[in-house]
Amino acid sequence: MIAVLEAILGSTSAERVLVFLCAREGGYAAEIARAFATDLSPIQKQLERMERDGLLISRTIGRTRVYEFNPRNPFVPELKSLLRKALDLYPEQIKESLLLDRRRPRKKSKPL
Amino acid sequence: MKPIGELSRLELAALLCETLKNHGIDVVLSGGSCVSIYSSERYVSKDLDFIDISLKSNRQIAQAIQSLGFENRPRNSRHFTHPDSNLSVEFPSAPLTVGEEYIPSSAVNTLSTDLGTLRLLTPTDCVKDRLANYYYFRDNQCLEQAVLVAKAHPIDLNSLETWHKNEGQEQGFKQFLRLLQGK
Repeated sequence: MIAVLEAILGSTSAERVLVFLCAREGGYAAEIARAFATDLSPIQKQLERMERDGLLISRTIGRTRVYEFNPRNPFVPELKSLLRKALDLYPEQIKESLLLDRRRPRKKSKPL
Repeated sequence: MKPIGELSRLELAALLCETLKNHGIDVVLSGGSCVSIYSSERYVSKDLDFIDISLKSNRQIAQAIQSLGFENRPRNSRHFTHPDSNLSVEFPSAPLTVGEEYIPSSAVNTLSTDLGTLRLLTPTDCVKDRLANYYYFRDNQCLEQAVLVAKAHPIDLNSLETWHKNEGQEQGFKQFLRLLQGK
């Protein structure tokens, strides 16, 4: 993790949540925890706290609660700039796993 | 004083605003309840969204509002309910903004009632607030609410046009004017 970012945010989990959402534009607790190979509970707590404080918004898709930055929060553009800078400084392996996820559709019956 | 359950939205909002002010907490009503008040309840919001512009802690707000019988549910959230009222109360985080535009404390509207003075968004800022939801979230209900308020109250169209330009929504302003004129 980036020490300065962790110092500002006060929590490794908070940094992970924000960096993930910055990289992917949205996400749910389990996939964020999986991306950083960490426990689910602290990630969920951070997501709930950030939503409560107006930084994130969420919506349910099926049975999954998906979070993203609240576009109406005036601090979001500058925060994203900071997070993009942090993301640039991440180890290549983590950066690639966050940025190069498959987004295009895949038919249900299509073989891998 | 009438029981909480018998108060109108405006009365309850004013009572809350006054009570919080007496505890040193300055709040401004925002969101759907402004639409309800400005549209004479043609749109019915289920909650009162107050922005705390004095930046007090959630604990201070909870202590103040609990004196009226409101309970913090779930605990440590920004959400409060009263056993006798259908209206819940929320405190979305400050600052008071509509889109990118900051609204200073001096630019809010006030409505006086027997139970206190309510501070709330002006009709023009209420329209911007609803339109921001429409532009950011494609929420068509909010577009209808913006038109509802603008038809019921004088709106500063110059300010609204400038706001649209700053938001990069020039086409949205044209669409809104067409709807306002019933075209």
